[in-house]
Amino acid sequence: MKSAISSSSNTSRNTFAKWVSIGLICASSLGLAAAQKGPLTIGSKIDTEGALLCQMTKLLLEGNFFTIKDRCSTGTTPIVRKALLEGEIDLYPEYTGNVVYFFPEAKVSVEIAKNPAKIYATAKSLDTKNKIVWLKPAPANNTWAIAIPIKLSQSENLKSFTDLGKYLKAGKVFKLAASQEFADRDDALKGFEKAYGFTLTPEQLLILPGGNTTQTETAAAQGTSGVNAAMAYGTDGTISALGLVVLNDPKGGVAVYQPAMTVRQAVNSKYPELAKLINPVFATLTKEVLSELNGKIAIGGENASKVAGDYLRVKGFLK
Amino acid sequence: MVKNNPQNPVAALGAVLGLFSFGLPWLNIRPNRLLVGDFIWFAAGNSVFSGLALLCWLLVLIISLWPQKISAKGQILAVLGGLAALCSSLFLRDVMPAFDPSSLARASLAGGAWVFALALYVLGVGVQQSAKGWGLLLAAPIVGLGVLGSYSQLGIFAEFRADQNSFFEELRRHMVLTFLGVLVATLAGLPLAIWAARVSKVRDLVLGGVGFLQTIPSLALFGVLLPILAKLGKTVQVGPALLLGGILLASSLFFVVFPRAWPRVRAWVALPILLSSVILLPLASLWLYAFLMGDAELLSSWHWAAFLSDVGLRGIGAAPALLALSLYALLPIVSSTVLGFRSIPPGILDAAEGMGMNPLERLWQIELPLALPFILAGLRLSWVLTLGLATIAALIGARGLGFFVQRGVDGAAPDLILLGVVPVVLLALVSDVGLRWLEGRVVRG
Repeated sequence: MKSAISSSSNTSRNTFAKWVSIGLICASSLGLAAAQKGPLTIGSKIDTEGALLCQMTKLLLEGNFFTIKDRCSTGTTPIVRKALLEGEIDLYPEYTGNVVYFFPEAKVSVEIAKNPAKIYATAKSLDTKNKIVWLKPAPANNTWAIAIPIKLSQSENLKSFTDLGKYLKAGKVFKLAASQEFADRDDALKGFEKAYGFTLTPEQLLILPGGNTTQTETAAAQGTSGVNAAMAYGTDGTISALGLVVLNDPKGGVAVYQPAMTVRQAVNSKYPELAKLINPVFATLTKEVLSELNGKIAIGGENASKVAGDYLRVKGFLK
Repeated sequence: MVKNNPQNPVAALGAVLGLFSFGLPWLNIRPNRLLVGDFIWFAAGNSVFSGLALLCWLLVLIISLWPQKISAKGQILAVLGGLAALCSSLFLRDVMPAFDPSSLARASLAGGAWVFALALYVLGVGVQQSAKGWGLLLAAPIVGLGVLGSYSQLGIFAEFRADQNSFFEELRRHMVLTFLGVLVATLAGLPLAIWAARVSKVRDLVLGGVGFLQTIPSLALFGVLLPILAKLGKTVQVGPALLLGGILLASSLFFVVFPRAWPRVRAWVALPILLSSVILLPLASLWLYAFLMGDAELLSSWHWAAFLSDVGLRGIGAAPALLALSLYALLPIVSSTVLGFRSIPPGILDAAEGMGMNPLERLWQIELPLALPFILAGLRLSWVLTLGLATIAALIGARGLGFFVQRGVDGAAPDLILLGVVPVVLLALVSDVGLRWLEGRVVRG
């Protein structure tokens, strides 16, 4: 606008500047019109990856003319899920394997739960009656795991759960730091126990409040209270930095947990572009990518919002 | 601390703590923010500094316990302590890893450094009367080197750099939450306390009540408040709430201004004040919260027809935090005000009545000035307590500095916990000193 006023000597430049400014005004008013989209309220679980995916989606949508209300790190799984069902939030990242836990009456079989495509299809169809839409999951399996110090793994030759079963049968020292949820759920610790034929005594468990694996893994790495094993997630970025290694699960004792955005159907139908925006980003989130980004937050101490924004810009999803 | 005793046992305790700090590690060099790495002891660094600091503390111990009078003893102790502080900060500067923003390695102060800081604080308390302004020497070297940036590789500063923007926002929020909690407690607590001071039945009830409030754990309180506030916010509108509160307030003011209109209810005037404050104070504090936080969106949603949830009265967030903080802040204010009013000799009140003062005049001109030192002490106590207590706001989604504490506990990152705790401790110490000074001026003036 300023240039249009000041460059009055040259008529052609003047008209050019006029057109540019008119174009700019049109573009910005279009942008303003587009900025009316929303507001959408986004939430997430309280853990590291929840915060990461929440910030990533928030920044992505804000970059595409949505107004977003940030309720990231809403609470534990039951709370954030309830918030979605009651419309307190409009969308949050969930894991496909969790439908086994959300719909106990559907009795989803272990065969289905272990198959990424089948468990996603099941999640999608079971949640239609709740008017919840599952967008496409990321190709990463953030399933439950157990991590032990590399030193212990080498000295006792503990590579897999089969080895762990033998190790425990020999009555050797073992203490696992885990969340209450991990100890309680049939598809977590109990799933491993059933598949590999061992049972942990209450003395071999250290239950920590909250479900953050950074706590359990730090405890195992430092041997806090005699802990030498930790509940872990498949995409944790902390494992190698803390000198830990994940036990292999050759029998596939637990379900597949792929992160996918769950959206209220009303919102999804009103803004069909949500899927077009979010799906391509989630498609790039492999296990390696998520581990690296999670590690930047948990080990590097970086802000989840910064890590998410940097990633979106590097990948060209944001300018 | 007896005037005639030349010995200074508090300063001696500081010296003992200072010497004790040599037996503990001072610095922890962590490979990353989660792991515990190698420890560095004070003696491990440049031995000149540690030797000098050791000597200073020994001298402090000897001088503070010397049985004969020494002239300018406080100043000497302060200088020695300041010298020890300088040595320790130079030592820390020497062993601190070079600043490297790309490295994951962090340094954290370990037990020895914290005990040393405590020792300086205790010494400062011990010499604050005798050393006058010289006591500032104790803090000067640490602050000086901190300002010069020698400690930027400390984990707490690394956490600060990662969260710079939100740190100042949460610091502001913490102060706002504390301020409003104390403000509401003062506005509600003073009338309550005055009422309680006059009527013995009310006194038992009120003192018992505010005492009981302290015993409710914050998590339980939030659990109770969550459904109540959520329901209230969704069903009640701003207009009717303000109207009801206004009517109650006006009716009670009527009795205050015309105390002879209905003599038998005089003492019970406090009841409608109390009821109106139950309605008006939370609303006022919600508005003030939005105003002080500069939340334009929240401020613009104040309409007569808006529901209370639109203006911030929700089950999670600032509303339950403010309510809990003001309930907890009541006890010091109410109990010390009651004590202040009860300590006024009855003869003075009789004389005032004999001079023809009405109850309002008596309250303003006699009782409040006489009870002022007690009230101010209660306010200071309440402020310092609430500053620390406001960290619980993070439990109910109201953030504040407790947010860093909670995230630090969740993420097993001790430096992030410190980022929340250290400012709270510093704020509490500084405001305690400041408020004491202010109290002294107000009461004397």
